[in-house]
Amino acid sequence: MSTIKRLDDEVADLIPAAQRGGTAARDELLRRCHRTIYRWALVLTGDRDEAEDVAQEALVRVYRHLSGFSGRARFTTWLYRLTRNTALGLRRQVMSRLRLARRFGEHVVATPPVPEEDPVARVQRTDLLERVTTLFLELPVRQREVFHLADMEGFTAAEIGEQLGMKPVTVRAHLFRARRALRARLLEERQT
Amino acid sequence: MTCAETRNLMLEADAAELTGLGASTLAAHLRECADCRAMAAHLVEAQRTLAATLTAAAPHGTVDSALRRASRGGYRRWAWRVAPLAAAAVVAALLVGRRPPVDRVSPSAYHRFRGVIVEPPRGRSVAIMQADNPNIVVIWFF
Repeated sequence: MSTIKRLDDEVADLIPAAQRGGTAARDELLRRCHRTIYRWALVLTGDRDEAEDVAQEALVRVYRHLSGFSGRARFTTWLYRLTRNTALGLRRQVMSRLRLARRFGEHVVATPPVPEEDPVARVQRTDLLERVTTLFLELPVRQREVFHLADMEGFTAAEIGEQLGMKPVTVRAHLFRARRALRARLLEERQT
Repeated sequence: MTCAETRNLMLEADAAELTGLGASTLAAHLRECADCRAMAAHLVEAQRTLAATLTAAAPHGTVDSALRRASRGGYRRWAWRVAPLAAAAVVAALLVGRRPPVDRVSPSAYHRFRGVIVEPPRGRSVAIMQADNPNIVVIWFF
C-alpha cells in the first residue's frame, strides 16, 4: 500500500471528529499529515528551509480550512492542492535552478534512506542518489510534480488531474516526458 | 523486438513493466535479455532510491509551532480588519501634528484670546490653540 493510501486510511476517522471541533482529533490529524506535506513541499520548492516554511503555513491552513473539506475527493487530493497553493504563494522568485539542485542535493544526501553495511554499495547508492536527485530537480516543475505524484506517491492520472487542474491525458503526457528525460540521462551516464 | 526498440520503450514504461512483470513485449524481452534487464534494473533502482529518500525526509519544525500560529490567527485576522482604521488614525495624527498652531499659548490660570477672557474651572489650567482654519479654536482645560 502506498504511503498516500495509508494516510487516507489513517485520517479517515479523524477528519469528521476534527470537523466537529475535536481538538485532540485535529491535532492528531495535523501530526499525521505533517511529514507528507513536508515531502510534497520539498518536491515543489527543492529547498529544505523553504519546504519547512511551506509545511508550517500549510498546517495552519489545514487547521483553519478543514471545515471546507467536503469529502467528495480523497483527503490527500485536497491536502495536496492546499500544499501546492501554499508553496506557490510562498515561493521565492529569485531562486535559481542551480541553487535549488545544490540545496536539495545536500539535504537528500544527508539523509540516506537505507543504512548499508557495505561501504562500496553505500558509495554507489549515494552517487546514484545524488545523480538522480539532480536530474529530478532539473525537470520542469510541472513534470517533476507529476512524476513524483504518479510514480512515487501512487496517484492515478485522474487524481493528479484533479489536483493540478488538468486533463488526465495531459497528466500522462507530462509523466512520459518526465520519465523519458530522466531515464535517458541515467542510461546515457551509465554507458559513459 | 530488438534491444534498441526495447530501450526506447523503457524510457516511458511503468516501473512494474521494467521489472519484467506482465505480458507486454517489453517485459518479455527483459526476461530474455540480460543486458536490457540490467539497464532496466538500473532505472528501477534509481527511482526507488529517490522515492525512499523523499519518503524518509522529515521536517525539523513541529506541529505544535503551527498550532500556536494557527491559534494566534484569530487575533491576527481581527488586527487586519482594524488595520486600515488604525493606519488612517496615524496618518491623521501626523498631519495634524505637523501643522503648527497659529496661536498657541502656555497653560495658565486664565487667558485672554481675541478680546475674550477664558477662565478654567477652579484648580485647572487652560490652553488655547488656533487651527489652520480660522473658524476653529481648540480650548483645552486640563
